[in-house]
Amino acid sequence: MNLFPYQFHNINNKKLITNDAGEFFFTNEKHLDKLIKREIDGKFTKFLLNKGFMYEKENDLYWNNFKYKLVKRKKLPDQLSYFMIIPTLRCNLNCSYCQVSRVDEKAKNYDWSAEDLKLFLNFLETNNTTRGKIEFQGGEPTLRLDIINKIQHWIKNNNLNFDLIICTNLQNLSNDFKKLLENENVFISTSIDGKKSIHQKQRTKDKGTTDEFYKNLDFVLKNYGNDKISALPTFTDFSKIDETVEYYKELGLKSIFLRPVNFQGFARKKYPSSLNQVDLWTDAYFKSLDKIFLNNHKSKDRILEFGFENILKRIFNVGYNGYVDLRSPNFYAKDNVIIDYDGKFYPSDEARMLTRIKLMDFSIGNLRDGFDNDKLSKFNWNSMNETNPDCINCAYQPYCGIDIVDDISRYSRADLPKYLTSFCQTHMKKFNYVFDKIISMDPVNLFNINGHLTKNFNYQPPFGQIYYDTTH
Amino acid sequence: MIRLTRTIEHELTVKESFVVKIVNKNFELLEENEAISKNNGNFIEVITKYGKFKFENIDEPLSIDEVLIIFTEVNKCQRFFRPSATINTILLTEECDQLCIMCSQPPKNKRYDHFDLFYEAAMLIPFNSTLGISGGEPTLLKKNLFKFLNRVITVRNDIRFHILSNCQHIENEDIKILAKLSKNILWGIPVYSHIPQTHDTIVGKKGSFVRVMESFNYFIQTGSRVELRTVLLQQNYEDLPKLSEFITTHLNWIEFWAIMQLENFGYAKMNWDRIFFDNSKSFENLGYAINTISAKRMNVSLYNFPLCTIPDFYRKYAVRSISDWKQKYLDECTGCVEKDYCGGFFEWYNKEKGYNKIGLRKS
Ligand code: SF4
Ligand code: SF4
Repeated sequence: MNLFPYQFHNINNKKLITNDAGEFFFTNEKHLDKLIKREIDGKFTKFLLNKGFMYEKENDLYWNNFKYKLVKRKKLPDQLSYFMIIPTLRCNLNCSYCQVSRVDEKAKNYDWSAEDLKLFLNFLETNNTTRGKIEFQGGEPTLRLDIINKIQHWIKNNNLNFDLIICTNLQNLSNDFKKLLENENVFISTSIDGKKSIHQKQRTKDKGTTDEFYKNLDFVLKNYGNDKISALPTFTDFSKIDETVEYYKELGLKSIFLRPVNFQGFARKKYPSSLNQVDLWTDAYFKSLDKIFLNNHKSKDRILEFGFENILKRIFNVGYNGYVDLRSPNFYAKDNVIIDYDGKFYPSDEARMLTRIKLMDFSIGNLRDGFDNDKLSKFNWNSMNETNPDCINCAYQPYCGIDIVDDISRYSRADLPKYLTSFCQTHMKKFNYVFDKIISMDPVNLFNINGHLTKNFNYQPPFGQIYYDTTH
Repeated sequence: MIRLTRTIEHELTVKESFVVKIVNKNFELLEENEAISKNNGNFIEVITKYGKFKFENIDEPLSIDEVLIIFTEVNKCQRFFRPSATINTILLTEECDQLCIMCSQPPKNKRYDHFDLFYEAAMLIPFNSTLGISGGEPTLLKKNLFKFLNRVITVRNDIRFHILSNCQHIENEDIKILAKLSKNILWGIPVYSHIPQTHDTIVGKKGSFVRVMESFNYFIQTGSRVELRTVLLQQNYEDLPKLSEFITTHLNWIEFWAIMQLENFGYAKMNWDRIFFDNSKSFENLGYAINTISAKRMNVSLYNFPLCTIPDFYRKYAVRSISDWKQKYLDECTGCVEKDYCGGFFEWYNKEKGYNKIGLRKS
């Protein structure tokens, strides 16, 4: 019998043991000690074998399945399938923390040309992508409904399988827009910061604009159902989270993504305190999560929180690595790419904003000349926590991610020791929180863990025995 | 029920067996491997280049593109490929080296290894079709089977195979051919418990579980695709939660897990009272297993479960899996709102000994 390599971590005096395949269990100090000293008796051996921590001999089924999980966790899709495009940078609103560095509605030279559109469709063709998602960002992309419509026609004519996601401020629900929404593959993503007063303060400013937004939101929800729309709140005042969660439920939305205002783009100038708000944010976030969990358990009117779901899936779902904010390796332009109003490629939306505020040029090519492979490979060699000296000793490494754009945006460098970064500190806390929920075996927690993993809220632990001591 | 092998009356001019595909053409234009079918009142008449034959007109008529094998000497015709069928299966042999307590086709000393005819017939089936291969135990004829599969995919790489095997005969020397066939074959492999003895007792063979796992190690190394199959029994209901944990820890590479209800035929009928597990009375362990699997984002399906025996939330896991030729509905199903999605019952389902609760789904 042999042990696969493992890491450990202390959570509330319980020892969490994980391995690269993403298996985990908890034990006490005594057994961690035995593990380290290789004083593993028959019973412990059996447990470790069952849990995927041991193999009998090289190349046996345990060995090969470990290898399988390891590869599956690391392997990224090797086809571009998520395209986020910015057909225009112009916008008809001026939100207080606008991250996209928008320009005025009437500005010139901030739109895709007919040529750009053609190049984009060629780009899809040469990449041989037949299914995936195209997300329209802005500015306000509905100012260029003509472009969205042309892409939709092109998809239909070529019998392709693409979802279109239009990120709109829902200020203007024209008849053409409504007609587009009739299509099954077209969805809306919008920002709802909360009740009218909050939304008005942060985004719409005056009563007329605010009312227009809520009227349009109402129309979409009533006519197309709440599957048509995904909504994102942005929080500047952390004391308002619970209120917003309740409001989302009232709207009939089934999911919410709680995240702080992002320290990027022009937001940085307006909210300087957002540079280091790890404790402030995580405290508020965990409190709100606890509340969501209690309410989900109490009433049938339930809501899922995407951040929690995302972390759970990273832990439990081998091969769940479609979300760029939490994966490693996090190679750029592998499965997704951002294409700006001027046809330039970016690895992420954040990278696009940082380039605009001239922190650093993150562009990695453009529609005309294709990818800048030298630059890409420089980014990519740094986009692996597997080779980071801090991460390789961390028990959360198989589930965690890496985000050098975030590091550079905060610290102007990508090589700060990870544990000093906001990314690491936040995720360390989140993983602590989630694993604490898992080991608690508390009915409310189990109920919500299942709900977030399978949408089936129930009390069955989906992971078998996870605590080992000799009484077992 | 549709009879797949029919006795024929014929005036054929050949002695050898041969294959034909039903086409819509004038006689003059027929090729050697084509035939026209006519509905002649009590008989279905088939006209080939080698003369005519006919059989009684019961069940489903022949359709265009259907492929037949005619065993001239024994006056039989096998409906090899029906385009409308959910799956068309080649029964290769009735021999088996296991003796499962719920076997619906107890082993006999009979082989139907007409590989050359199967090959010719396979060449005639539509693009992108799937052929099932079952037994008995098909891998008892492993050498010729692999040859046949290889021959078919070399010419028709679009054809997929679904092979039901007890997985006792895969060896290291098969690795090369398994890798070559891996994209084209889905292996349906039974595993009844995570406890070796329980599995072995159910299949009536000592060491079976360990041997399956050994074969799995060849499968994982060759990228073979596996559908794990577990027939629900009184003998393994208790094991389902642990079995699901075993699968999510050590068999992550399988394509999906099918949990199957019993087909009361053969030994299953004989042993019914001591093996049938009525999930309409208790679903708890099934729910647990499904939950464990889907929490890990692996795939699980329920085969042969009438929808009304499954709690609401878990109905989405049910698959209409009972082959059309042996499927039926009961009086309780008349007017049921779920009928279009429900696979119903096996032809030989016995209500007296069956589920406690069925037919609750009137709108
Ligand atoms: S970033 Fe921090 S939490 Fe994540 S793997 Fe690295 S050290 Fe661990
Ligand atoms: S009543 Fe019949 S058709 Fe309806 S769910 Fe039950 S078995 Fe299926």
